[in-house]
Amino acid sequence: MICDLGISAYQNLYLALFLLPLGSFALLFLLGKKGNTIAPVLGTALIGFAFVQALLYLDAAFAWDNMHGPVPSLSWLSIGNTEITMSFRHDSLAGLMQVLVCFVSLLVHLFSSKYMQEDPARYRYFAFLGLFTFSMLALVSFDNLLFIFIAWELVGLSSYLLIGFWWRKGRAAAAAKKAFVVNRIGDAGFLIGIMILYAQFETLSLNELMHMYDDSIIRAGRWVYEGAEVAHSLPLVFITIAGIALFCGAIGKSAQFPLQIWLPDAMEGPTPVSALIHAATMVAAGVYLVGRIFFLLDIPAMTFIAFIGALTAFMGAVVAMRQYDIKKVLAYSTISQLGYMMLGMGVGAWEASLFHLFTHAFFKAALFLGAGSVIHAMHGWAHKHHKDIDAQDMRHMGGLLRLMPKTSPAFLLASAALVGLPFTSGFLSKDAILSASLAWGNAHGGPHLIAPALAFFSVALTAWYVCRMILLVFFGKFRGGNKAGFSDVPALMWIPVALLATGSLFIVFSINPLDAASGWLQEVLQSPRSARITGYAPMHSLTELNGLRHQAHRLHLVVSLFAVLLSFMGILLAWRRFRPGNVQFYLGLPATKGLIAGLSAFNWYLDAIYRVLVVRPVLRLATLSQSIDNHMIDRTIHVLAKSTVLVAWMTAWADRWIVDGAVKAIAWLAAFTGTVTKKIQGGNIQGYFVWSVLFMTLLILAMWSWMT
Amino acid sequence: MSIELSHYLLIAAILFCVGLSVAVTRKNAIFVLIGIELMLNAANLNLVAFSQFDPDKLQGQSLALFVIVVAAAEASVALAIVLQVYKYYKTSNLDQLKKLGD
Repeated sequence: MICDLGISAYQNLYLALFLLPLGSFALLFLLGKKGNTIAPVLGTALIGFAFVQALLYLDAAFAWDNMHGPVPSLSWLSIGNTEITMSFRHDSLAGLMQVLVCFVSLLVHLFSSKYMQEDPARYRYFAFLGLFTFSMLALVSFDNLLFIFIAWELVGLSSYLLIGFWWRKGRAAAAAKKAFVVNRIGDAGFLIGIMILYAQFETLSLNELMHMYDDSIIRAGRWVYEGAEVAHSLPLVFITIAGIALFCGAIGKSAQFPLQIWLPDAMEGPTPVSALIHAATMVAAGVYLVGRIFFLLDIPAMTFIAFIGALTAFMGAVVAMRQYDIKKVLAYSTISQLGYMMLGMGVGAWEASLFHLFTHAFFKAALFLGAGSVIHAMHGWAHKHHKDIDAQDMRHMGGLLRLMPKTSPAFLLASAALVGLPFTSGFLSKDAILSASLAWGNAHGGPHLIAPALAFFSVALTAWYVCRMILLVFFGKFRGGNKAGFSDVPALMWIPVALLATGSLFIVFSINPLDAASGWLQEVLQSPRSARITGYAPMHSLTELNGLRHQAHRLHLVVSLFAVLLSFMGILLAWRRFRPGNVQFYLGLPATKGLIAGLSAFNWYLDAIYRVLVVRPVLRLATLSQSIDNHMIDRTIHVLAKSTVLVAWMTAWADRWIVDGAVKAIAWLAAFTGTVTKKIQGGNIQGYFVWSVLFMTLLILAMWSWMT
Repeated sequence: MSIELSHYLLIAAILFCVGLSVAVTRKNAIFVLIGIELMLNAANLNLVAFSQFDPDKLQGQSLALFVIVVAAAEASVALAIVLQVYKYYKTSNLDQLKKLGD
């Protein structure tokens, strides 16, 4: 295939992959309101082409699997000896991510062309989707950390623009700002990590860094790198700090504890956007990043990641249990699932974690688009009946299984994958992570077992909240009232959901429904080995990682049985509480009483805690600075200004009365003389005669008197 | 009774006063010019009278001739100007020709 097409064909292919979504953005943005009618068609078509390009490129990516792909690295900037190179990564992970991004983006475009049909600013919506797709493709294709960072910020920007798409709603604008600000906190860490790596190695290309790490050694308690051109040394602790600092970026982007507060608010954006950005692709970028820097993580950093991941998985699952907004349930579930992926990275299960990223992208995008369909249908129904209800509130739904016969099977299938029921893709990937975490916990022992324990507990919680959501939305009686006029969504909306849901079946990823170890994705994705820093003990060697993998494989059967048991327990408990007969429960909206319920309903009071710990002190500091500014700095300036004015006033007085006065006096004198003398020059010729005779006579008289 | 120098001077003074009064009082520019001619001739009379005491050179008489020539030139130029002014303003009344003062 590679030989058939030739290298230059692949270069064009690669270029087109980026230019198509970027072109979609530029074109639609330039067209403005005029582009409203063609925006859905044009955007979808361009992304569709990009998807084809990504598919064509994929098998080349599988074949290359290293840096020597079709696109040469370009020197982007050189200042003195510093050279920054724009290099691309050509491996199966990048190729698969490109396909995933294009695929989900294409389906979201299709879905949106109906969902956003009525919006007066469709051109802007589709333009931003194009911008996002471009940025995300760039993010997964760059090799240089600096360029990854640039793309990382670009996806953050497009996320901001799309969350705040309905910016006239105050809450959407606030949510967009919150997402942006919270993400910047994580990005500060990312930047610090980049700077540490640059300080030590003077390059940011991941491929070069991988070799340089291997060449670095520990000498006299310092981390030393002596290359051909650069030689630096840093204290030992920076090995750990570099990993954790880079992970901080992932904490922000992938909504990990303690920065997960932005993701639920981001649900203010249009639902297809939530599916694309806040479920399938952008939030998974954090996991992707950790996967890319996996080789440089030492054991303390990995332990940190594992615990953050496990904690986030648990916290997200707990909060999802008490949400009534269907999108909020899914948002917290996304946080929880991202926690699983991070846990997978932390315990060294690179393949399992990325495998979960892919399966999750499918079923969560299906769930979000399905939720979008439900909201769309609810909205249409409420509109027909002139009811003013919250179309996202599950308390108004119920019995939609019959009312939406096309959407509901897909939604149920994707939900099963989210729970991790057997024969779904979620089962395969989640069990891989669970067994890896248990193997890791066993290997390290002691308090390390807390992480797998939290992960297992979250399995039951996940089953509980998913079952609750399904029962509230699809079973029982329709609680909105008269169900006449309720119709399922059009084909353009349910087909994308169905396609994504199909991707939640085990068969897509592995022939064996119970074990994905032999699945194609696991075969294709080759775990990067850990770096070998000579003399540095706390770093997993390849043998150790393989050992963990074998352990995980041995535990696999027990773990999957246990996980399924936990899932069914969760489902059973949820069924007992929310079974269709329990109607009275729905009508009386339960107040959130007690600390535990409140923790769950209000996201562990994190917003309130941050308000007290961060927002309020910051505001107070701002007020203090303002008063210092007002009372001290401004006052000094006022005094200065006033004295200047005084001096100026005095100068002006002197100028007006002394300098100008003298000039004016002269001028007045001249004018006076003129007025007096001009009377003589009246144009009266005979007057001139009289005057001249008079003066002549006087002159003669004077002369005569003088002579005598 | 012989005619003495003082008689000439008296006549010339009378002539000059007549010329001056004509030049100052009359409103018509032509009369003013006539007055000026009279004053010039008064001066000529003086020159000729004084010339009696200079029989060799007759400087006074030659200066009088010179004055007559100059007066003729002056009269022609002045009359031409008066004619142009009259053409333009349709008047030669000096009280109405006061553009310079306005």
